[in-house]
Amino acid sequence: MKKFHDTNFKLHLLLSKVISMGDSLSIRNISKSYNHNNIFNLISFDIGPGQILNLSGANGSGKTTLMKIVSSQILEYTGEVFLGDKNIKNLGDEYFTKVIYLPPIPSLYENLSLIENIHFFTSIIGIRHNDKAERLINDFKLTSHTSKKISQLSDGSKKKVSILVMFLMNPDFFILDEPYTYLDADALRTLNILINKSTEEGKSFLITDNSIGLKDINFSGLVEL
Amino acid sequence: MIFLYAPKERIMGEVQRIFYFHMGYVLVFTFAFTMNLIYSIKYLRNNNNSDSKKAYINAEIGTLFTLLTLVSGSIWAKPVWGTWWTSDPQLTTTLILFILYFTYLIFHKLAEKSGVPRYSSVFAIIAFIDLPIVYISVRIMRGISPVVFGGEGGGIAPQMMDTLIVTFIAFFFLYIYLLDLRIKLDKI
Amino acid sequence: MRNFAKIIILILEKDLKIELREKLNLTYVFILSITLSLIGYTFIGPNKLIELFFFISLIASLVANQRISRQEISLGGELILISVPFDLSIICFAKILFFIIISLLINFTVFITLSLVSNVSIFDYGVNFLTLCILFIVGVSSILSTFSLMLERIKGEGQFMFILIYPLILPFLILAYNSIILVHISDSAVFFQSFSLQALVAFDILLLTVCPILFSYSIRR
Repeated sequence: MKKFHDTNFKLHLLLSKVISMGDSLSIRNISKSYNHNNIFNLISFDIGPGQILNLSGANGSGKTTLMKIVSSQILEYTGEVFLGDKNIKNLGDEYFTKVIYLPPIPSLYENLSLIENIHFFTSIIGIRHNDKAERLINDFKLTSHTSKKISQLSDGSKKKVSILVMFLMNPDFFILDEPYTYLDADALRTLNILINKSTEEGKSFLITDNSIGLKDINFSGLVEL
Repeated sequence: MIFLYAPKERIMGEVQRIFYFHMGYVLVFTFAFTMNLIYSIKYLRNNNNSDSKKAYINAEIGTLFTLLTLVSGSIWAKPVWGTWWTSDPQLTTTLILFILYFTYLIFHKLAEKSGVPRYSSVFAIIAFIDLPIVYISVRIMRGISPVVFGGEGGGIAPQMMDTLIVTFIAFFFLYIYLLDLRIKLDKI
Repeated sequence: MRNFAKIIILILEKDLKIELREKLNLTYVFILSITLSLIGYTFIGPNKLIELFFFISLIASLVANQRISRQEISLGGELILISVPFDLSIICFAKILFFIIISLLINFTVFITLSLVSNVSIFDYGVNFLTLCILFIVGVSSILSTFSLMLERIKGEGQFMFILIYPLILPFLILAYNSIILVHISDSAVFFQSFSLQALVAFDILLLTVCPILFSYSIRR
């Protein structure tokens, strides 16, 4: 079942057009099944520049699967995903500069320190990060943890590092899968400030979460599975 | 033709006639594994499920005929070499070929079940590397398997060559028939 | 080309940093190599020393490779670098190179152990032996690293599926075995001109080129 709720959509769309003339992500008739079991059928929606969409659904409805399809981590599906007017399957590796998926469980090197992880991920993509990285480390209150190994950090701190790395990479589209899990109230607030600020710069978000963290987000629309 | 036209081999006698079946099996598995490679590459490029299924079917046929090659080889070897099996390089590499593609069949099913069917295509492409080793092993390694098609023009009489060519054609059509039957069974 | 080299160096640096810091995998590999060498020498003795050397090196590599690849998989079960904006074949190539370094360590440990217990210097076979070692390591590392990276992502069945990869090494071993025979009996000129060694080089180049590309296609294309 799909529904697209159009809360403040037109106003937000107008605002985002004023802010940025970037490409939209268009999801068209996406269907996915595993071992002949249908997960979801004919899902279509758009994420324009500066928009925040909420993806909601019951457990097992396929939210993570859909997010992985949109972020091109799952290749076997029917339907199409377009960035602007280009099918993402034809974009190749360039797509991953524009769209980043944040998994629910942080994806970091456990045996490297916080600062080493940041350095590695930004260097491998060719980003210079110094000031922004410091600022984000301060915002997330991770200053005292920079030389600790990731394995020594709490789940909440690992999540903060994961989010921090994603914002350093600065894609156009953020696909956030349960971003508020493990986060304390301060970190939750910091993340929401970052999200709202990024949309003013024309960045777009697709978020799925069941926590109260969502209440401070100004969603452009809702996609229900 | 095998039993009526082809002459009796001077040293091995009537048992040599198994050679034609043996070579027919070799031809079928060569075709089958080559088609398995082609469909595996196609599947990696295009993500079409029918390519994955056809690759699997070809591997099934190829594995069966590799087994037939080993069995017919053993039956031929007993009266000629006095043993069912020996550690000859060509026999060993053919056995390895059988093990490889038998493993591929299991791997393919597991990969499908685990949601990563593309992995079996990677396996098939690397497994195909063994096929040329089977053919070159008889030349680079010392063994007792005969070299039928050698640089000096081969060791086979003209009538035997005619019979062999007809056998090849017959087995090729057998391969096509089995492939078609198997594809229809799977309703691809 | 410069980017390609830079990314490989970054990944190698990261892996070496982790290994030298943790030392757990290095210790594991060290103990495994010595133990297998002693067991192998006890049962087989000094008569087939070079064959024993390569056999132990292979077993230790098979076991060590899985542990090494596990580092690239996150706690969530996915490749940590799956969303990088460059071809994944570069990551596979870097892991192959890293495992070649680990395999050199394994081979060195086995070599020292066998030399000590047998009182025979395998190094008397000189350049032939060294060349064969390197070619052997490159081929085995290419296949094992590629598949272990792929299969570590699969929960549950991944372990069993990795065992199913072992037959893929067999054709490569046939060529290597024939070259081992030549190490015993040939001088360097004959050894380097032998068909089996040249075929081994060709397969190494083929595997080193094809495996990373196949890895990329299997995960993300």
